[in-house]
Amino acid sequence: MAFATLTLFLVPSLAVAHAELDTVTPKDKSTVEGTPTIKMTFTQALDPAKSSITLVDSGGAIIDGSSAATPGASKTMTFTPNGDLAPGTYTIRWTSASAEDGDIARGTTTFTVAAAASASPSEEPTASASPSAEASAAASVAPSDDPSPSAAPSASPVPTTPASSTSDALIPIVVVLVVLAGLGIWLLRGRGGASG
Amino acid sequence: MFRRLHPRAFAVVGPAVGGLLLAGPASVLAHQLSSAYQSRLPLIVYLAGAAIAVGLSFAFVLYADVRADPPVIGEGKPPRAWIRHGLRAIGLIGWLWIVAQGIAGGTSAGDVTTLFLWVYGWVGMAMLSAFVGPVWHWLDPFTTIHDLGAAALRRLGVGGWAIAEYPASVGRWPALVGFVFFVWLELVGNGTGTRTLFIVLVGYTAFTLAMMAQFGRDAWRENGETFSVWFGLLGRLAPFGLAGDPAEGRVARRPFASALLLPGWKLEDLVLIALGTGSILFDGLSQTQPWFEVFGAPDTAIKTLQLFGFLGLIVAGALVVARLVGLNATAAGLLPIAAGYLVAHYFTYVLIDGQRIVVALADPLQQGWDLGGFGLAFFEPSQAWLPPGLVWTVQLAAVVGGHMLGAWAGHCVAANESGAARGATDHRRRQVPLAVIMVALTTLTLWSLGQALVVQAPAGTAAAISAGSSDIRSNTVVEGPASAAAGVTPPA
Repeated sequence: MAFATLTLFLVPSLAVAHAELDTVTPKDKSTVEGTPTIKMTFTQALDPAKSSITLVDSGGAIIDGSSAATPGASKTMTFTPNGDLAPGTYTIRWTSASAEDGDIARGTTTFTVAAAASASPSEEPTASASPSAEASAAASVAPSDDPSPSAAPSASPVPTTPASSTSDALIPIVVVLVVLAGLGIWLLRGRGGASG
Repeated sequence: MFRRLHPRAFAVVGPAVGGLLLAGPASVLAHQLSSAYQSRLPLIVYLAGAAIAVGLSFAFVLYADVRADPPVIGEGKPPRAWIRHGLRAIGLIGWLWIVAQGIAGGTSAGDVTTLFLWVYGWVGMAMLSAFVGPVWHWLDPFTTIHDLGAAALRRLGVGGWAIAEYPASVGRWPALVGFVFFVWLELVGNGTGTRTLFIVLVGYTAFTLAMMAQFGRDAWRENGETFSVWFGLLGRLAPFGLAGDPAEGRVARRPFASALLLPGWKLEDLVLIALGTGSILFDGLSQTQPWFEVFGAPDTAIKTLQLFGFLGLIVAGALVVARLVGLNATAAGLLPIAAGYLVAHYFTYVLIDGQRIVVALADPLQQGWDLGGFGLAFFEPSQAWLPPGLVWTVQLAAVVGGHMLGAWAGHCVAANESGAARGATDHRRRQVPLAVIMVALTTLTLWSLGQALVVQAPAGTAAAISAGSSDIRSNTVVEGPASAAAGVTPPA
């Protein structure tokens, strides 16, 4: 809410002009198997020169790949990683420039690449060593960060809804009362000697 | 003294509290320029604030009869060279950055036009001026550009021309005209966007340079340049102030707020203070739920009329009080109030929206860059670190503290001017109008801080903008095409 308000103020006309994210594959906060091709669509045609997708892993390292906004009045942008993605959580940073007026919008979404073991659940179950070996190999490749889906590093702070209860207000009131009483006494005494 | 105070003070406070209780809080808060922070002041806090404000102002005026002499301002000396040059450089870089972005076009969260002009300039610089010192004296890019231009012309062999005498009868009114224009732009015309603001800045720069060339740099800063006049006025509070001839740039230390007691307030100063107070109040009030229920969401013309009508009302009130109590006392009494309201309404705005500088640094020309690849361009201002209790504390302390300083300063000035013996009653009774207008303004401010706010949402303000935003309070009423129904929470 707060951010929305502030955005409303900043550039009220901007909200109307921006190329906003419409759809994204893989979906935000989803889990995929294997290496996906990222595809995003926007509410307005994009300026390919200024629009981009950057993929970063949970350690913040940028993943090599080809980002492409289809030339011509396209609303679509894709990103294909050059290599296979190790299991872990990834953040998509998208930047869209409206082809209409050059207005820039940005945002992030996340997805998680599941550990390789689960990629072949129908495989022969006897080889107990094989999945664990895969998993440890994957673990050694992946950054040390916890790749669990819940550890999404994206900029989506948990909404905090502080209670506006009376007890919350009590501390500030007490503090203010003390401060103001001090100020009052100081002034009443004629500002420490400056009085006439 | 306080024992004597109690019975009568309660007689005053009682009805005020009762009235506020009846008025009651509705539900939320937001601002246009102002606080991005969506946490309203709880009823109990503003009741306590109003009660203290009422009680203490009357205590000062009716009982204590405190006195204080104006400070003796020393010679002062210019700040260190690196401070002066550093401030000038910052101001100039800011100006150039805005112009560069304006030429490059486009908008984004890294837009420095709104960031520098409104957040850091109109609000942040006002606070620095009131609580630190004459920072603007060197930061002012108009003066720096003027000086650079003059130096360049001299080098080219273009001689100076005779400067016209600034007409004394015009006084500071040109600055006030500019102030009203900027207030209008901030509160009513902000829907016009960054582009307009950029053009306004360029136009204002050209106009300022022309006036400086015509009347002399210092005469125009002293009288005509809106920012210099307004920030200079707020500087009466600051612990550091310009001493002697402002053009010499010597800074002297004096006790905080003591310069309020110095004579030399002009009629324009009082009107400007009233305009400043009125505009902050209007910003708060015009977004409350009750205001919305009465006036709806007016178009630009109507809102302009409302703004001017409201400002006119406050100015008229201040002038009437000045007539009854004296110009110096009224101005000294109302300036701290204006500064207090400024902090209460806008400090969260500076702290939260001001964080956009991170985005601006990562993509300085709004070209979709992310310099360094750190993802800083994707930074979103956060308020999670700002506990509501702290915000309420600061808001209340600012409003009530400003009120107390005002009551003190107004009384001291009036008492000094009257020459009445300490303890005499006549001069104290004459100050009641000042106390009344101050209490009215403060009560109104505290009330507006506790109200539900209505936010106008333009069409299409959907997911992407607020994606990942932290939603500190969800009881804001959104009005507009994005979510037509009142009481709907904006998308988180």
